[in-house]
Amino acid sequence: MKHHIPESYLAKPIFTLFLVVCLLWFRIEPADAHLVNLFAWVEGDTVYVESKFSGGRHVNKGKISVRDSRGTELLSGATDEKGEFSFKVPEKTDLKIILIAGTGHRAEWTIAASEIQVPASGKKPVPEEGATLNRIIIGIGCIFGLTGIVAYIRKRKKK
Amino acid sequence: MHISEGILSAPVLISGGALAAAGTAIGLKKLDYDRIARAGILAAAFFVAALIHVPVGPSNAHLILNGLVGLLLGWAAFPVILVALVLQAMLFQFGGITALGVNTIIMALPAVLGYMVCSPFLYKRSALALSAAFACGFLSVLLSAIILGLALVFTEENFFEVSAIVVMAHIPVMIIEGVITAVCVSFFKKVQPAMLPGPSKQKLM
Repeated sequence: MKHHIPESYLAKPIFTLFLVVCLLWFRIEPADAHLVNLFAWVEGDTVYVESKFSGGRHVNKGKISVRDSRGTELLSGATDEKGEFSFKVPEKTDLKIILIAGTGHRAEWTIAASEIQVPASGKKPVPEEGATLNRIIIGIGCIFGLTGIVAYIRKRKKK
Repeated sequence: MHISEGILSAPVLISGGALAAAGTAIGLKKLDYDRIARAGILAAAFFVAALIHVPVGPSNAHLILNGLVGLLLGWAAFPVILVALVLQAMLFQFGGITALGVNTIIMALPAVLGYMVCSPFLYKRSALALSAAFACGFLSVLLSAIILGLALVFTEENFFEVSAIVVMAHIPVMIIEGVITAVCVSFFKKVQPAMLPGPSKQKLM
């Protein structure tokens, strides 16, 4: 005997919508947790590093490795509880900062040698907003979902 | 064009909220529920338009599309724009939740006024209809800029200066929106008259 979902369930748009919403949440959570953002800027003779996961949590005790343009490690360390790390500029070269935050999270940031040569004008770069496309899709999805709900309620009222 | 959180004083925020609530109530009453999909599509268009920055001119303004939304939806522009603004505030930090009412008024009121003035011309000769559509797109943004200046008058004091800056910054946007609105209307007239407001409904039914 074949098992099948009663047709009445599938016919109910609300039920379908509920499923879609559930799926959406399940999709978003892990996707969020797998992005780690790293950014660094020079102020005077010190390089400041900040890091966090895209969900907003700080990277606690993430391993930091600073390398020059040839890939030789100049220094290493770990982020504090706030996901921050700072170090004195070891030499005027391109600095490649690599963060390894465990369970497959890795991010890089490169500071060009030219940025280091002008120590006075240390500017904090604006962190890139990576998930814009995601948000656009979420927004449009919400609007269409809402439209669907209103249309559905109207249809039921009419019957 | 979005006013951020923590700029306006409480009376301005509250009166903006009250006006927006009233407009939304009227809009929900007048919303054509048989053509709800139209409202949804326009809400999505409005939602995304704010992400398109116009790199011309002194400041970087973005598209608003309130003229198009208003011209096609009339009073229903209020709930549609409100929904899109809520999502913009939550997902992109444009404006803010407390400034939602004021922002809704800034963008939806000119949309409704544009509809009242321009929509009667949509079924006239095509040159007239196109100019009306252009005017609607153009004037809606202009009016939004002026209302924005008005909302800021209680905090900034020099209304004319603020308004002038906002209007100047939005001149390229006004022209672009006028063109977009005109192009959309001429397209809908030819291809999808059901998108247009008013008389097409009877034709359709």
